[in-house]
Amino acid sequence: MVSVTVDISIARQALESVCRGILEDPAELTGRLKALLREHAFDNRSILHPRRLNEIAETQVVSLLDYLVGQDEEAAMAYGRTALREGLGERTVLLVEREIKNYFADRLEGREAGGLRLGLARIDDYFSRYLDGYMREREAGILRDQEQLRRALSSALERQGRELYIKNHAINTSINGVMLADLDDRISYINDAFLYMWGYDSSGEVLGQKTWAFLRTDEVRESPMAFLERLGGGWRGELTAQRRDDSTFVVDISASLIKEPNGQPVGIMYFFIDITERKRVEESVRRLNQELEQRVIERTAELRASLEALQKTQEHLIQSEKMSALGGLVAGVAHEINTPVGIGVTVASFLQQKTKEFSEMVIQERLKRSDLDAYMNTALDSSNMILSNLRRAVNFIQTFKQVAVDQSSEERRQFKLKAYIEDVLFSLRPKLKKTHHTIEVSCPEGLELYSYPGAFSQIITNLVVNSLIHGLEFKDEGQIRFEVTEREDGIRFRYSDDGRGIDAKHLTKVFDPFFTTKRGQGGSGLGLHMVYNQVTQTLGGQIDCYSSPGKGATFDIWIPKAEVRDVKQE
Amino acid sequence: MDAESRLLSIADPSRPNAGRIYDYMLGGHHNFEVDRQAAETVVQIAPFMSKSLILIRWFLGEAVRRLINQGHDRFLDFASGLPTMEHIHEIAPPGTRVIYSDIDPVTVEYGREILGGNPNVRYVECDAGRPEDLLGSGVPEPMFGQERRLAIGFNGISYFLPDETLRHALRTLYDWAGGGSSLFLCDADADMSRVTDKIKTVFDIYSKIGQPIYIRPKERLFELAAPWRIEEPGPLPLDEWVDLGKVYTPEEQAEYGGTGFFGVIFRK
Repeated sequence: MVSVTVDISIARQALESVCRGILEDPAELTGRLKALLREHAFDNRSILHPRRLNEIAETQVVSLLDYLVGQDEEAAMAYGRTALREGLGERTVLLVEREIKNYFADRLEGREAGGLRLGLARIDDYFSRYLDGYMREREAGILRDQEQLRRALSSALERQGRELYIKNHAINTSINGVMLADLDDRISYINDAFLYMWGYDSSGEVLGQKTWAFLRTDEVRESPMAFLERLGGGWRGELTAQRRDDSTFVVDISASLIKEPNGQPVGIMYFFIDITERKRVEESVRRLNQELEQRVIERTAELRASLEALQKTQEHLIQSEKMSALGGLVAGVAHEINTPVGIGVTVASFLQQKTKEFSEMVIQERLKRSDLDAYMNTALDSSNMILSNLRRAVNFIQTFKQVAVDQSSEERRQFKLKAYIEDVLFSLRPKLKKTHHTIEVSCPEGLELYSYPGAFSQIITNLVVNSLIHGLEFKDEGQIRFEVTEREDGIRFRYSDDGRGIDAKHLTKVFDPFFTTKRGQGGSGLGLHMVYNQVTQTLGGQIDCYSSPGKGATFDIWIPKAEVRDVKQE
Repeated sequence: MDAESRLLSIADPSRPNAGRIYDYMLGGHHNFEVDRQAAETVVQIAPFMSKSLILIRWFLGEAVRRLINQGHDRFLDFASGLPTMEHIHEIAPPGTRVIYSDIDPVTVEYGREILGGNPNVRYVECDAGRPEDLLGSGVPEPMFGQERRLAIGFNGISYFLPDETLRHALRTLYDWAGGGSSLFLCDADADMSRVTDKIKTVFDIYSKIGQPIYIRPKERLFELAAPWRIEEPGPLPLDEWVDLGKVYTPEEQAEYGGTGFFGVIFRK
């Protein structure tokens, strides 16, 4: 008994000696453990980061020595718990235990046999308690983790259950039909809307039947499964559905394969919308559209006819306006010729009377020398006067004739522009001579055109008439100016008066047909429209109007060279 | 597979799920038998896969420490998994604001239990491919205030997102984040035309469970991440980030047809 006590005491002393040595210089043992832990880093759980391995090696040595010296069983067990929580794997723990045993065996080898035995026994004891704590913690951890997992799963499933309930509710209360079928195309689920749409009372009448029994089968050529697979898993279209009472209606159907996550099909989902009402409305709309199209065609024809009539009327009115202008011209001619011809008639009558008196004197032989001289003078003066007045009349007639012919024809001929402007103004003398307006014509003397004098005549006439009845209406001594300049690419023909001008709101309308501010006072609204047409259509040019109230009006006309070649070329 | 079916599979204990397979490989208990079987199949085919997944977690810790040293105190993390030890809020100093997110509603619920009532940390459900759902949810404002200089985690998720989805997600984050923000991300530098049959088998497993893997060369990832720009120390293999020396054999590294997993920090 005593010797045993002595042996234990000696063994304890040997063990404590080794422990003291380690305490004084732990680097060797901790170094071996660090190397071991790093070598087996991947045997642990990921939560044990490699940087913790060095600390674990150091605390492991401290924990073991504490136990060997003080035999704190709870501390050993607690350290085992900590090792598990840190993530140290079982294999690593066993390797650590073996490494420590080897280390102590090396140190105690050759000393008292009891020291080695006692040391290994104490280390076994330490690791027994360490592993007890480790395994208890592991069991507790698994139970805790599993319980937490169960609760978490439960929460998630409960939430999914709520979502599923809401979705089920949405499907069940949908106004559109929903149907699920298995891969044999047998119906496994329908919602209330389907029953209502197809006229069934309970799902029992429908479940288990083939889906196509509820649709017109002559529209189906292959199994729904094969059909959907071929189309990539889904299809949408319109089909005719057949109710329980054999009546039919049109449905918009969406069909899709229900697949497992691995892509394996497990069923088919159908979604039906009754589009009978939509079809009816579509048909109504189609008919309405047809009627509307027909009405549009008819109305277009009516409008086209009206437009043609209107155009003819407009052309007629323009022609009338031209004729009216020509009529005015003829009236002016008549008036102008009346004076010289009247003078001629008067003088001729006077000469006839004098000749008759002279003849009687000759017959009665009472003619004196003085009578002969007087008669000769009278005859000479009278014949001169008759001749000059007749010549004047002839000039009038020639001028009027040319202008009148030009206005009524669209012939192209060669003419000198300045002389022609003056001729046209001359033809307007009956209108102008009642006024005190002055007209100035600035135009190159030699400018000779091969163009449409009728167009120029109408432009000049209508512009002057427009000034007389609008711009210069209330002006006694107005000014009208023609300014023609020749350019390389054409001629610029500027007409202006210093009348009362045109309101801004009328400026954009002055060329519109039938636009007039003198409606009911003789204005036809066609004068400037004819000017516009002659410039833009007959002469291929452009016309702009500038004016402001009180500052006269200016018409700026540009006519391209091609339309006013200065000599005849053909 | 549409988003809804994917979500349903996540909460379905009868089907394996990539997130729970990941958890099992990391040594977690947040998984079911179907996940463990799938994970074991993957490990048997490609034993080094679990090392890669563990390294991703360790990279996250390294990146977080680096960003904290740079003064970041607001973190927004995607595909977070469980917020256990060595996750952002465990590493960061007190007062750091963290929003974790995950597509898996079970992980989110579990994460909330683990976090308890920590007022500086929130955990919300969000698909990493649609960060706008989180950014527009009203959660960031009370957590981050007007400050938009953030550190954004996007780890272990890129290879589950097709190119255009990834581009959209990273661009959305770039547009939302303020100047000086950082994005820490890890992905696999890989070439689908050169991966080995072994890895193709692993990819097939993920495809069969409805979570296909989209690998890409790292240059492609940088294109998709633009205009985020790469910050020092640049893209490094994950083992270099944790200073463990080379953990892959040359044969293991060659499996991906590229240099394998790497971590990188971007800066706006």
